[in-house]
Amino acid sequence: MNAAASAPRKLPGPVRAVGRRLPRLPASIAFATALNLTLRRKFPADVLDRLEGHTFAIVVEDAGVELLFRVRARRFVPVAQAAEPVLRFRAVAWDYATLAAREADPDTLFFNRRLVVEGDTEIALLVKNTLDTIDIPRTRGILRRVLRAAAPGGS
Amino acid sequence: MNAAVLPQPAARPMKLVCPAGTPPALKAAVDNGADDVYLGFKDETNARNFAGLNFDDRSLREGIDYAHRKGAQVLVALNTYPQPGSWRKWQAAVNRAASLGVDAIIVADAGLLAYAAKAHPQLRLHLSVQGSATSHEAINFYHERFGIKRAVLPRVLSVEQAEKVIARTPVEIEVFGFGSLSIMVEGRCALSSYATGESPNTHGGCSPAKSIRWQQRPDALESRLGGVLIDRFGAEDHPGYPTLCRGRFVVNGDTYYPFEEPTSLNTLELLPRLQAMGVAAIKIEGRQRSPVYVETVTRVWREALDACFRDRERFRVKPAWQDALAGISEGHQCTLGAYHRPWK
Repeated sequence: MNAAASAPRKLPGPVRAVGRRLPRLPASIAFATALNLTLRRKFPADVLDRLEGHTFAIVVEDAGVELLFRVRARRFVPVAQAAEPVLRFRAVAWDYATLAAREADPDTLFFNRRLVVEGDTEIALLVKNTLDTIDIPRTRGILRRVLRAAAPGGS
Repeated sequence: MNAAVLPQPAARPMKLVCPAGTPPALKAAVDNGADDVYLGFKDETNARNFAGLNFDDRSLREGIDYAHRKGAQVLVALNTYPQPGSWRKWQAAVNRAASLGVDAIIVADAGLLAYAAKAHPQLRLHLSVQGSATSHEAINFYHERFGIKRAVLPRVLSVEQAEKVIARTPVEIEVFGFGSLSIMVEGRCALSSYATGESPNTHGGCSPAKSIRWQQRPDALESRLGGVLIDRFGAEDHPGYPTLCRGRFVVNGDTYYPFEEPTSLNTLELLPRLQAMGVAAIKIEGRQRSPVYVETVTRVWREALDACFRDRERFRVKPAWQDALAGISEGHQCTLGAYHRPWK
């Protein structure tokens, strides 16, 4: 399935309302922890070294949440505030999930203005291509099942 | 041409040649029915030299094993031009590909072809589209001098012209079937050098990431290459890759795409004719694209090639195929490119 070809789905109103009230740091701590558990060991050391010291922002637009983290000593570390991250991604939660599940093509989301990338293009490309290199079949399998269940008509 | 007067049926379907920038893309291509997968090393010896993309020796070895177990072949693109002072790097790349057991290398430079033919006479050679050979005389020259087995035709020939080339050469002919289009002066384009100081022929990319800037303004998203404004996209516009040849510029007071509009090539409807002409292989563009793209395109084209082979005369393009391909195309417009044009 190419989820990018389908219409974007937004979080329900109550979830959005909760998201907007969440403090930023706990959400960033949870996200950085998840990255360390699922992706850190899969990232080549030379790529983590290239990203060392840089701060990244993931904006989940429909949840009103901005997740901030930095790469330090080859680990993902949560950050409370950043003057200007080297990269800022903007998309809705559904599109992030389809990207993570490898059900959507990032370039297509970008062509369709559903994935906005601001900042250093070279680092963006490095991150995108490195993520494309990583195989995490178990995590992707779980995500795909969740997406199917959440989709209209899903079980 | 009417299918009823075409020559005898082909003995086998045209080969499907799919791109892989990463190991998961290679697996997606193989699992969905690619006959050949083409890829490159992590340096400027190939024309998709982008950060984080391509294969090192270990991932290539594993990729070759995976492909061979499933009956597919692996082709390594060494399709840029060695520069004075860097010849040994390209030479070493040929040796690496040969020692890792690839099924063929895709080469543009005549000197590199000569080296490969002499140093590795058993290694199958394909002439890259970057070799820019558009006539049977040029292709036959490469065949006689270096023993090339296949040539990829540049995307500048009409169907009639491609047909004439195929009829006059013993070399297998591969044509592009799907993917992003540029102005296609392949192997001879130096346009990006004016903005970036680099060209695809020498450095492996015409929009190097370090030269690209995307900037969101209040009224538009702007793309720049080497400081040159390439395009401005309103809320309803679809941005594409920022290359000079697909830039929108002001010329004599008019703002338009003076070189080429950003579109994608899609030749599904030409398949019966391409098969009847004796095209040996169909190439899919997109080594810079994700495994999802490779999976989608490979699945659609495998199905289409098999359907065309089973019954060329009744072959019809399924709307579901076009929908799937339109969903991942750059520019949201598909064309037949030079295959169909009124002028020659």
